[in-house]
Amino acid sequence: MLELLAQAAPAAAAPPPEAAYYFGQAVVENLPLFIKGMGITLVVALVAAVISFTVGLVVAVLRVTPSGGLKIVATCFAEFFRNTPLLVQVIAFYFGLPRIGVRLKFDFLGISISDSLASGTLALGLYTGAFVSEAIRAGLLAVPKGQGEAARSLGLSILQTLKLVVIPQAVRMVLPPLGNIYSAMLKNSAILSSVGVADLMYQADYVNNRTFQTFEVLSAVVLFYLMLTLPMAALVHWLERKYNPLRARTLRLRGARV
Amino acid sequence: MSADAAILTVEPPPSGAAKRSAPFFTYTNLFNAIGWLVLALILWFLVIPAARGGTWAPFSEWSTWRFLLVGPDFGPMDEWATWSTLMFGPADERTFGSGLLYFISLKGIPQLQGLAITLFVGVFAVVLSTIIGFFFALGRLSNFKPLRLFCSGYIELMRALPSYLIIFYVFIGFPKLLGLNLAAPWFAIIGLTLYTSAVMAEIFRAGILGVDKGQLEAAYALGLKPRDTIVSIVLPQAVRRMVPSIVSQLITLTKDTSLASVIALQELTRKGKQLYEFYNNVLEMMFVVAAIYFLICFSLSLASKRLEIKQQ
Repeated sequence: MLELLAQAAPAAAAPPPEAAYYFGQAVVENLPLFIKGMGITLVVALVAAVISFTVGLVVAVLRVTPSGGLKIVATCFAEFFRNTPLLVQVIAFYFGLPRIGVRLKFDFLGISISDSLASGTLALGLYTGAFVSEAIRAGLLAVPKGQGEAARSLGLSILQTLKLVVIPQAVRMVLPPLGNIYSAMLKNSAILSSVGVADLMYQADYVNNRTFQTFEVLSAVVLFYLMLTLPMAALVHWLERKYNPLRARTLRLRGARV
Repeated sequence: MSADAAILTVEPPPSGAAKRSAPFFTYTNLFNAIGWLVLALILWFLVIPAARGGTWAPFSEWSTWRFLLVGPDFGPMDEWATWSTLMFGPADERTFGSGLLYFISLKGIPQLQGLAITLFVGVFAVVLSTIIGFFFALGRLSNFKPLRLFCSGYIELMRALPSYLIIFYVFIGFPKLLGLNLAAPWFAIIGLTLYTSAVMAEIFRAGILGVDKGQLEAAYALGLKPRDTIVSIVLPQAVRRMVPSIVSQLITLTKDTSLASVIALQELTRKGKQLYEFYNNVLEMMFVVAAIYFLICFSLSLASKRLEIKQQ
């Protein structure tokens, strides 16, 4: 784990003269680098997923509450982060936060998290969180208003209404778009390599610059990314089929329990 | 109607006693207070120190905006003769066809920078990927199995890859593997098109499949050919459903053009980078760059919402 998160990439295999390469040598010899990069991509995606879900949930709940101040802040946050490029946000976080005195570098249980990794993950988490908030908000608003009103008039509190009545119905509508958002997030994590997070994309650039075996190296990285994203896409497809409201309705009409 | 409604809805003005008995602590008041506190903190810690430090000063000059929007001042380029030479090749050896070819090669376009080249690349990529995506969608729906497999493979592959990786692959791989020496905007356009056309194909396919099957059967029963059925029955209904997804893809594309800055295209993000390295004000500069992207993307999403409302 400690090695996985280490920022500085170890030196790639010393480049032999161009003619000395056999096909695929550049990939085989630097396989540990690629695997390390894949690990970092996964770790970044997991941490950003946690951040984005938390942020998205809070922002979505704030956006559906009937109150002024925080609703405006939450709406501004969601719209701004949704409609600006991730690259710009990552640059602003990585170069900008130290300028206002925020240092994200920290040591945690012996694992040192570098500045670029922390700020990049935070930017990715906030960017995705804005999308998550939009999906959750759409799900919450799609629940008929009468449900919430009925629950309130039965004497449930606002939190109870959300927890017992609205959220269970909203989850069904939220899950498919959420899957899409997270598979997009996994792909977007490649952008963090532009500020020096040593993920898979970074290793591709690094090894390519060392060995100049462009075709092999980039094709190998394409395969590595497919290994990450295709299972995710399959999961999204499964979610969409399972929670498709149309399909659920037809099944219910046939008497199946959905 | 109006008199009854007025009687039903008009409430007596709150008396002083009612005003006083309104509870001080409600969740609404709490959220309001926290919201204003957050805004005040942002103002106090971010905006005021930034304004004091003079880091916003560059934005009071026209040259900064010019640099961001259309690139640096090339001087004589402002004259039409020089500008047209850059865009369409030297005037004396120019015929209509060669001028157009020179323009399409985009060799002169690198003189166009900043937001202008961002929009240029974006529009080019949108048009190309809409056309290509439409044919891939039809290919995926066709009855000819090899074509269907090829189109499905292309769509699934491109949708599963980061657009950053695709642009990078195109920029590094094409000159080396295919011997293609194109102008920088072309690499960005090709990379963005490869990704966006796959997504567009998926949107078109979903739109076409979403049309009720009875419509197709009715069209066939009336004796329309498959081509006529698609053009005059399926597409008009499908387009209406596809508008929101297409616009959201346009927004994604607009944001993805910023990735072209890593392949040395002189577009908005790269110009912003050069400026903040010069003025040493990364937060302010990136905020302005983000705000420019925001204006484009947000107005697109507002337009799509209005279109949706109109259709209902």
